Amino acid sequence: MERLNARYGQILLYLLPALLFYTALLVYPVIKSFYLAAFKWNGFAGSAMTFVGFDNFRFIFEDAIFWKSLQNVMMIMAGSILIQIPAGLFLALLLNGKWRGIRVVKAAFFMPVIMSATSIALLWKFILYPGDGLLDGFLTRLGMGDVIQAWLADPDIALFTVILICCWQGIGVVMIIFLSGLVAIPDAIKEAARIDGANRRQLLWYVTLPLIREVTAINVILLVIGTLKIFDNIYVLTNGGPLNATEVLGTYLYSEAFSNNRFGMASATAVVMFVIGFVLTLIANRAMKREAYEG
Amino acid sequence: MMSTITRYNRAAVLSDRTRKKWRKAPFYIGTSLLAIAFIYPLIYTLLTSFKTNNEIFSNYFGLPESWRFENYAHAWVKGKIGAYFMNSVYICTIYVVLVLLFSSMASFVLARLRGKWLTAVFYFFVAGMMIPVHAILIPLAQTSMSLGLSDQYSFLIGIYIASGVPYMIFIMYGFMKGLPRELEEAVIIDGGGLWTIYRKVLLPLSRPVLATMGILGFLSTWNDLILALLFIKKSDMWTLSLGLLNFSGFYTTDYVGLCAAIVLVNIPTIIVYISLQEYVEKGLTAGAVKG
Amino acid sequence: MKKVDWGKSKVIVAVLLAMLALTACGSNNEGTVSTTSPATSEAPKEKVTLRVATAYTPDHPFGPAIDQILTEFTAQHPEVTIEKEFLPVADLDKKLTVDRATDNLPEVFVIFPGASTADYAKENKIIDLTEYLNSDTDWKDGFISGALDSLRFDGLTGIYGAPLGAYSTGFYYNKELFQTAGVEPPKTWDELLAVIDKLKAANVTPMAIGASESWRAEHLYTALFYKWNGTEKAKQILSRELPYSSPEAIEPFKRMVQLVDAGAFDKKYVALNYAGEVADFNNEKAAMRFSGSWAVGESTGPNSPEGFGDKVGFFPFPYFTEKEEHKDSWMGGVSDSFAISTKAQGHQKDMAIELVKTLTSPASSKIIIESAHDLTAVKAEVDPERSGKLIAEVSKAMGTGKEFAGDVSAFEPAKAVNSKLYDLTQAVLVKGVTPEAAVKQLDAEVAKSQ
Repeated sequence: MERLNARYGQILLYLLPALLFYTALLVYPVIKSFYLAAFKWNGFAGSAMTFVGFDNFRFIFEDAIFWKSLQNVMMIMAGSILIQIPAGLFLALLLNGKWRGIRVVKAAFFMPVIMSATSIALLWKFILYPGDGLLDGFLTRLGMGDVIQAWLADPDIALFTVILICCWQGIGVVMIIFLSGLVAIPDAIKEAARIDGANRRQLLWYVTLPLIREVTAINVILLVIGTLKIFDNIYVLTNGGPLNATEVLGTYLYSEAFSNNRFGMASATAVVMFVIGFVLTLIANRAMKREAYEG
Repeated sequence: MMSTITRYNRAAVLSDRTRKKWRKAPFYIGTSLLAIAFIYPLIYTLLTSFKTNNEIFSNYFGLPESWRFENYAHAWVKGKIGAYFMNSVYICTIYVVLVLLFSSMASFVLARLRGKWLTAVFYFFVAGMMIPVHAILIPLAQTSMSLGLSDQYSFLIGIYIASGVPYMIFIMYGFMKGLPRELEEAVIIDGGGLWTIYRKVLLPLSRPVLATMGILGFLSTWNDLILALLFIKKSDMWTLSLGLLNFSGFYTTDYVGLCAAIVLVNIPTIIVYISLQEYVEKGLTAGAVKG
Repeated sequence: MKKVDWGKSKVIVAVLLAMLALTACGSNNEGTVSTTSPATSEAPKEKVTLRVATAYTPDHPFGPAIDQILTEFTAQHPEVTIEKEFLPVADLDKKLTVDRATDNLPEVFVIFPGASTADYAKENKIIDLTEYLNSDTDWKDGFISGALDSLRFDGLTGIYGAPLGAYSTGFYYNKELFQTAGVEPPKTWDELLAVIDKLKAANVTPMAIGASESWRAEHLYTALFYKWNGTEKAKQILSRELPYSSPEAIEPFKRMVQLVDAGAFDKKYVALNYAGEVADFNNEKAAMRFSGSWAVGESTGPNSPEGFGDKVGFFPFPYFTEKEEHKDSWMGGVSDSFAISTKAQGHQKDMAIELVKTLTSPASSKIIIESAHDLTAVKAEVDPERSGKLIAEVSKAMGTGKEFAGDVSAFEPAKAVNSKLYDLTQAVLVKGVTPEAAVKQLDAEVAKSQ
């Protein structure tokens, strides 16, 4: 491809449409928003924007709820990665075949992905309805009534419930991304390994896994960024409650902007989220690359 | 006449095959059970949509006392599903076509050409993945006002494209980087340029990722609520997800109507998924054979 | 690549066409002509568009009635096009937040009077209706007494909205279950605790409350606050004379805990949402609940069991024998009110005022009360057959009330403290935090917002 004497102008043309929309409708608003982080504003057009320097950031870092949000985000991130990556891979390996009905099964695992956050919240709230809801009723019938907790209302349990629900929804995407990687492995390599006497487990460990490193990295990075920004599901399920037990950076930002009318603080939170996301992505990227050198 | 040996062999072969099938049975059954357990919550929504609002609090498990198909008729009217359906289809289809086109073009040059500034552009795009949309709602609204575009879908679709591009480029980049170079070389030798490579080599090979991204892109916009809420002004221009808001009153919600509406709203996404999934399958197998 | 590369040009053309398509299409052409005219309008019937943003979605009890009223209005004023922006309260709030940030408020929109909506008036975004009210005394007198005062804001002299929604709170109880347990509706707090005991003895869950929704706790706190302190005291929160850690403000928290400790609620009350509270009451799993007058429709409307409405009775919130002077202090007042944006001009402004007048007229009020089985802030001649006995019972009981005031949170001007108040009343109700700790946090947040 280096032989191709493509002029810069021509290359730019291919980048232009994406760049145009991206810069005008994402980068530019972001810059405006980050700029607002140094001001205090009450949200009325034409109303004074007072310069406060780093005050907004100071308020955030002194706010215990901010740190709780950060902690929760980290826990959701860890939980999601630890659950969804192995489970998604397991499903992908399971469904990497051509038997009858496999498409239906794949579709079944992908169905939660297609539902909106409102739908997810609605049905899970019913399932977790206290006392006679689906889950509690089921447990009682099995005689396990004392296992019942206030799944979404108990501050100690709510976060785990939320993590599980998010994983339930997200596994489908992880699965199909893994599948696309698995299918790209040429059969020839697998045959060669089998001829060399490799059994199923060795095939998996020494042949398959290394070859899907790229898609694993993609899945991990998507999960990192996705959980960092997570908002919709949490907002409709618990709105950060009970008592901020499920508060995340996204809901914190949202409540600063829309409940407390403190747009400067909301912007400051956005800046912090961006920096964290950037750092985490760099780390994740390096970690994946380093394995490539070792492997 | 078959000798006993042949008959014995054939019997052995047959029972071998059936034995293999039976050995796989637990696998099939297990997977199916897992799948059913996984989507049970959705089945539950379906069942709920046939009940009455009072029944859902007293009869959780069971089948509806009577199957109220009229819930669907009511939901269709209350959620203005007929009217909003075309709106949603219009927005999502245009978005998917444009975002796939723009993202693939950009990923193409980013992934297949070399250059330091190209890498910078790539990171520039990827950084956009980390922006939470709520942080930019007000600046976007201000831009929309000053451009005077608040009566149309163009601004909304534009925002969708702007926020979809980072993800799409990120994933397509990874995919395209791994594509074989031989076909490109062939085109270059024949005197073709970027466009020919893009059209004749890259696009066909990228079908699986394009189809997958198409599905995910369609889903994200079909279900989007906050951006549609803020950037669609006229109520007859609403999308299906906005129509769902009609089921919430002051303190209460029409749950059964909402469930019925959710089922109706999700049918197109299932159709899109199934049709694109076939495409993904075809593309996947084609890619595997070539590689 | 010396040859002309048509392929590249195709891309450019395609992209440009696509972008043109985006800008050209996309608007649903229903022929709505919108003109916002400057004040120099000579032609009386010039076309105007009014954006009306309310919470009256089809599922809202007022929804069908409001639709009917609007249709009649446009029939009477054919030059007016009404663009409805009807959304549930939470989403309406988001939209208005963005609208006011971009100077794009709708011509007519709903506000819920309270200290935090005072900003609209302070920033001169909504018009003062005093002169219009004074020039149309029929309209002004149509409001129930005290309703218009709720639309005055501290430090300003005008009346900034026209109220439509009104409510009062109290206890709704299942007459049959009470009979079975042999209890009568209590008048005092101690009687209430005794009733709770008797109901428990008869194996009936005394009360249902959807504690997982914070506004339930906040309402309970408010009702207790007024019964203990009277409604005037709440104004001291606004003036910051009354810190949250003062005994007057802590006591309602303590009484909430007392209610929980008395075993008034089923063990799952912590996780129950409002819909569940309504369901438990309607399905006769709980004998009573504390709610507002909108609850009447919840027990008599189409979503409730057949004939259940006849079993429901009402009694006012019990008073404290130690504070008998406040026994007629009710939590209640005005809720949804219509404000008009200062951006409306000329004929558009006139029509906006006309629309608001129509919406808050006795005729409209009658339609609403009869279809929604709820109260409004506008007096009306209601047909008791259509509105039902229960709402009549509630209205009669309200006649005994001497002073009414809305949510305590409406007296809290700092938005951040306002949100915290909701969170903390809920926390105390579910016993996640002690009253002392809760008020400390509230005062800390107040200090932060100074």
